[in-house]
Amino acid sequence: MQQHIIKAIVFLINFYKGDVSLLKDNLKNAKYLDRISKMKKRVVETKPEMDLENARILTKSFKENEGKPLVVKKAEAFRKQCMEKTIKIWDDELIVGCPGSKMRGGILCADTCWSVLDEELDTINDRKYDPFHLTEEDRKVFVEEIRPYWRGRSTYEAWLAQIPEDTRVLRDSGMVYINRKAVRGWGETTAGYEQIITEGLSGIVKNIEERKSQLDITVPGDYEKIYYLDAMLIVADGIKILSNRYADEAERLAELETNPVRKNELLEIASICRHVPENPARTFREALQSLYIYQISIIMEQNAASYNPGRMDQYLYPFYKADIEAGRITNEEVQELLDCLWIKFSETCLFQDAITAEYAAGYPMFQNVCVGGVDENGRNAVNDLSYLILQATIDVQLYQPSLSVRYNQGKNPDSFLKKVVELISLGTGFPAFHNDEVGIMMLMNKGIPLREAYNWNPCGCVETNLEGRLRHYTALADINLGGIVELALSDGKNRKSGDYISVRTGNPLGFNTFDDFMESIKEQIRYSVRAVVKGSHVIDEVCMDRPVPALSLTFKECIKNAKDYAWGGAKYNAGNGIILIGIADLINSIAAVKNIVYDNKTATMEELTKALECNFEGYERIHELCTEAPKFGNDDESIDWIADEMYTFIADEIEKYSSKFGKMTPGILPVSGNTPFGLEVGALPSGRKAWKPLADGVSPNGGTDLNGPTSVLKSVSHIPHGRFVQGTLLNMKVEPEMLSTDNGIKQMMALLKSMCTLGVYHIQFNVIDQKKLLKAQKNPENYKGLLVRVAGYTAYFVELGKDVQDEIIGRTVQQRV
Amino acid sequence: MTNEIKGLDNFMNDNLGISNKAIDKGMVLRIEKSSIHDGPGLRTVVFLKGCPLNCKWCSTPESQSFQVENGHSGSKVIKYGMEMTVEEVVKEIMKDSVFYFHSDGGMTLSGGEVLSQPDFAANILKECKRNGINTAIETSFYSNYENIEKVLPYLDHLFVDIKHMNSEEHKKWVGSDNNIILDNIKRADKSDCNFKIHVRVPIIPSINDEENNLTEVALFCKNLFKLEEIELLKYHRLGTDTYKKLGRNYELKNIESPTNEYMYKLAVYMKKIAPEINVKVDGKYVNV
Repeated sequence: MQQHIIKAIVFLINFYKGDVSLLKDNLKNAKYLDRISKMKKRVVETKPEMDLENARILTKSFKENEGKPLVVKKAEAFRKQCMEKTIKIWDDELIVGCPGSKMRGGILCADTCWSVLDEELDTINDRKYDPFHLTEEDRKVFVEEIRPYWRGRSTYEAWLAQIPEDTRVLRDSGMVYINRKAVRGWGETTAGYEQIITEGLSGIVKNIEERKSQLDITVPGDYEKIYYLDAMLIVADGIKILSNRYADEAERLAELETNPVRKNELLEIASICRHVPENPARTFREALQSLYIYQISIIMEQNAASYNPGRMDQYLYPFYKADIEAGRITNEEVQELLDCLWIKFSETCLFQDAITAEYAAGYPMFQNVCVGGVDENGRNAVNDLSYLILQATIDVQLYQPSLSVRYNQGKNPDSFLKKVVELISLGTGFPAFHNDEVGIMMLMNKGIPLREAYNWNPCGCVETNLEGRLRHYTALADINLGGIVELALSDGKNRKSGDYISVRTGNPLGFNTFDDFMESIKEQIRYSVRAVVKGSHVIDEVCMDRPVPALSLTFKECIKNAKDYAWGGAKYNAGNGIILIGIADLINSIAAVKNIVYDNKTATMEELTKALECNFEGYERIHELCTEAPKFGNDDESIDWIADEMYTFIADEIEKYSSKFGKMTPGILPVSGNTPFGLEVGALPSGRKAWKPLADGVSPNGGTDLNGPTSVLKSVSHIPHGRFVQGTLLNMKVEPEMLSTDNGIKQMMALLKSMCTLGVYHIQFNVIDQKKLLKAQKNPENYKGLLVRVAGYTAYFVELGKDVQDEIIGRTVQQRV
Repeated sequence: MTNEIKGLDNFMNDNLGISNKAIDKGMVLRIEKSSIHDGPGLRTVVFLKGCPLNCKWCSTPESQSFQVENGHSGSKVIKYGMEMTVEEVVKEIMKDSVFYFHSDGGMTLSGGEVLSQPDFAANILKECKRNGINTAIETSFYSNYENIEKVLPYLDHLFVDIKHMNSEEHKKWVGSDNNIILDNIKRADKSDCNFKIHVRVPIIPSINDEENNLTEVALFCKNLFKLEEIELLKYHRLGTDTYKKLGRNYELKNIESPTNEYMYKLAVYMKKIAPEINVKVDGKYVNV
C-alpha cells in the first residue's frame, strides 16, 4: 500500500508542472500518509459482515410506537438508533462516524427488505457476489426478533404481491430487471449537504417550526402535515444526539489516551462533534464532519447505493478559502482531512440480495463526489479545492467515493484537464469523466431550468442529479436488449425456457423485408417498455409507505410542502429511470441480419435462426458471416446509422410515458448487469454465443472495435446522449504505458476534448494490463487492493465474481493513445 | 534520370498494370487511426504497400511487395493490401478531423514507400491540404526527385530515414546505396516549399550504431535549413511474427533491441557533435 502511494507521488512529481500542486509538500511531509496508509489497510483487511443492530433497534422501536403514523414510527426508530447504536471511533481517524456497529457492515433495512436476508440466511456467507459474514449472534437476532415482526410488512413483500403479471414474466426470464428498488433503500439522490453544513440542524429546525406554526389542525389536510413536520423534528433531534454521542466517546477515549498528540486529536474531535451538525460549521474541518454525520444518518435511515455528496469543491470552498486566508489551516492539513474522509466513505457496504448484487457487484455504495464544471453564472468553477479532491483519490486509491469530473470544455482550464488525465493514468478507474455540456442538457431535459441545471452533479454510476431538489429513481429497471433481439427472432419465445413470454411478433420466416424485421424489434421494445412502466407505477405506490424524513430534512421544499421526499415533496420530481443494457448487441445484431439476410443474401432467415437455436454449433459458416458483418465501434457508417435511429426510437418510446411524478427517463448504464442479462440470452446474430455477457454501456462488444479509440468515440457519438437523461456509460481500457509519456498525456487530453466536441457524455478508463488481471484472478490474496472500473464504479477486482472478472479481462485493449 | 535510379518510377506501373494517368487508385496496406508516434498530435496513418528497398530489419515485411499477399496464421488467412481510390482514402482520413483539431494532429502517409506511388500520394496529400488537414510523409527518399517534387507542395512534415552514411554498408543492409537518398534530402531542403524535415535513424545494434556513423549523420544534418530534429528510433522485433505468417525468414534473429539507456547515450553523443540540432529519443529532446 505504502509503495502504491509513494509511486503515485513520484509519478505526479514527474508530470505535474506548476498550478496548484501540493506535491512537493506531500513528498516532504509524507508523514500524514502514514496515517492514511494505516487507516486504508484497516479497511482493506476488514471482511464485510452483516450488521443487524440497526434492524434490531428499528424493530424494538416500532413495537413501542404501534398506532402512531408510519412516518412518526420511522422517525422514532431513527432517533432510537441514534441513541442506542454502537459508537465507535477507530485509531488514527480525524473524521468520525459509522452508520452501523462495525466497519464494512451490511446494514439491513428490515422495513424495506427483511425477507432478502431470510431467503439467504444459509447462503449469505459464501454467495458468489458480495458475500457477507453473518455471525451466529446476529442470526439469532434475526430469527427471533426481526423476522417475526416484519413478516408481511415490508416494501419488498408489497412489491412481490403487486407486481403486474407481464412485468413478472419478463423479470423471471431475465428480460427485465426491476426488483432493485424494493430490495434496498432509496438512494439515487443528492441531499442538500450544503444546507446542513451552512445552516446546521438548528437552522433547519427553525424552518420546520416556523412552517409548523402556520398550520392549523382544524384545517383539512393540516394534521398530516403537522405530524410529518413532527417526524422531521424527531430525526433532527436524533442526529444531534448521535453527534453528541461521538463527542462523548471521543472524550472518553481522550481520557484513556496516553499519547498526547492523539489525545489532542480526540479532544478536537469531541469539540467538533459537539458543535456540528447541530450548528453551522465554522471551519473546513467542521464542514467535513458535519457532512459525514449527515451522510451516515441517511445511510442509517435506509441503506442504499448512491447517496451522493456531489459538488464538494463548490460548497466546501468558502470554508477552505476562509481557513486558508486566516491561516487556520494549511493545504497539507486540508489534504489529510480529505484523505481521512475518503477512507470513511469506503467503510460502508451496500447490502442487497444476491441477484441485485450480480447486477451491481462490489458492495458499491456509489457515493459520487464531483469536481469541476461551471458555477451558477456559467463561469469556470474549478478552484484549488478541486485539485485537492482529485489528489485525495490519488492518495487513497480506495473504491469510494466514486469520483466524477464535470469537464466543461469551454470553461475549465487545461491544467485541470491535465490533472484529471494524470489521475486516469494511475489506473484506479477514477475519475468518471463527464462532458459538462451534455450533463446540463440532460438536467434541462428532465424539466429543470438552465439556471439550476448549471449546478447538476453526477449521481451513482453516471446518472444526473441536482442537490436537495430532485426526486426520482435514476435507475429503476433495466431492459435486456439482447433479449429483445432474441424475442423478435422467435415470435416472443424465450430460448432458454421455451416459453412464450412476450408479445407475439410473428414467425421471422415471414419477414419479407428488413423493415418487417425492424418492426418486430420495435414491437418487442414497445412491449418491454410498457411492462416496465407498469412496474414503475406499482413501485411508486409501494414506496409511498417508505418515507425518509432524515433525507427530507435537506430538501427545502419538503419542509415547505410538509411532504416527504418519498411522497413527491422535493422541488423537482421526475419519472423513474429506465435503463437499457446491451446497446451494441442490439446494433450489431440488426446490422448482421440486414447484411446477411437482406443485403448480401449470404444466408436465409431460416438458416440464421436455426444457427442461433443451435448456438452456431454445426453452423460455423453462418457464425463466420455473423462475426464478419459490420460492427459498432469502428466509425463505420454502414452500421452506425442504426445507433442514431434505434436509440432515438427508444428514447421516444420511454418518454411517451409519465408517472405521477413526471416523464419517464431513459438511461444507459449497465453497472454490472450486462453479465447476468447475458446469462439469459441465447446466441445473437451479432455473433455473440449463448449465455455470454452483453456489451457494457454504450461500449462496443468486447474485441470488435478494431480501429482504436477515435473510432469508438465516433461510433458512440451516434447515440443521442442528451436524450438519455440518466446518463450513458462508455468504458475504455488503456494500457498503462500509453499514458506514461508527456506526449501520451497531451494526446489523452486532446482525445477527451474531442469526445466533448462530439457530444459523448461520459467515458471512463481501465488502465490495466490483462496480464495483471489474470494474475489477480489466479492469486486473489496478493491483489486485495487491486481496483478495477466495473462500469461506472470502481470495485476490488478480487471481490468480483468470476464472470465479471472475465468480462473485464475480455474488454478490448486499445493499442494507442 | 541517372543510371542509379533507372526503373524506379515504373515500379507501381509495372506491378499494378495501371497507367500513369490512372492516378486515382493506389495500393494501400492498411489505415491506422489515433497514432501518436507518426508526427504531431493524433494522426491517421495510411500505409501504402510496396517498397523498392529491402531492409533486413524491416518491421513491416507485408508492406514490401506491391501485390496483395496472403499471410497464414494457423488455419486463418490474412489478406495484406487493398486497392483504394484517393477519394476513399481521404474520406477515411477526414473521419477523424475533430481529433486532429484538438491535438494539432493530422494525417501521415507511410509505407512501404510512399514515393513509389507518387501521383496517388500527391493527390491524397493535396486533397488533405485542401481540407485543412496537417500532412506528413514517412519515406526512405529512395526515389526519383521528380516524384518527390510532386508531393513537396502539399507537405507539412517530412520524416526521412538515414539508415547508414556509408554507401557500401547501406547497400549491404538495405539493398541499394545511399547517394540518391542523401542527394534528395539536400535538394528537398533547398526547395521553396514550406515543410519541416525530421531525420530519423533507426538504431540497429552492430549495424549502424557506431560513433563514426552517428557523427556523420549529425554533420550532414547540421547543414539542413529545414531540419526540425534528428530522432533516434529503437530497433525492435515486433515484426518477426509477420515474417512467419508470410513464410519468410527473418535474418537478424541475433540482434537484440537496444536498451533505453543505450539509446539515450547515443542521442547525447550526437547532441555533443552538433549542439545546435534537436536530438530526440523516446519522444523527448536530449540536453547535454
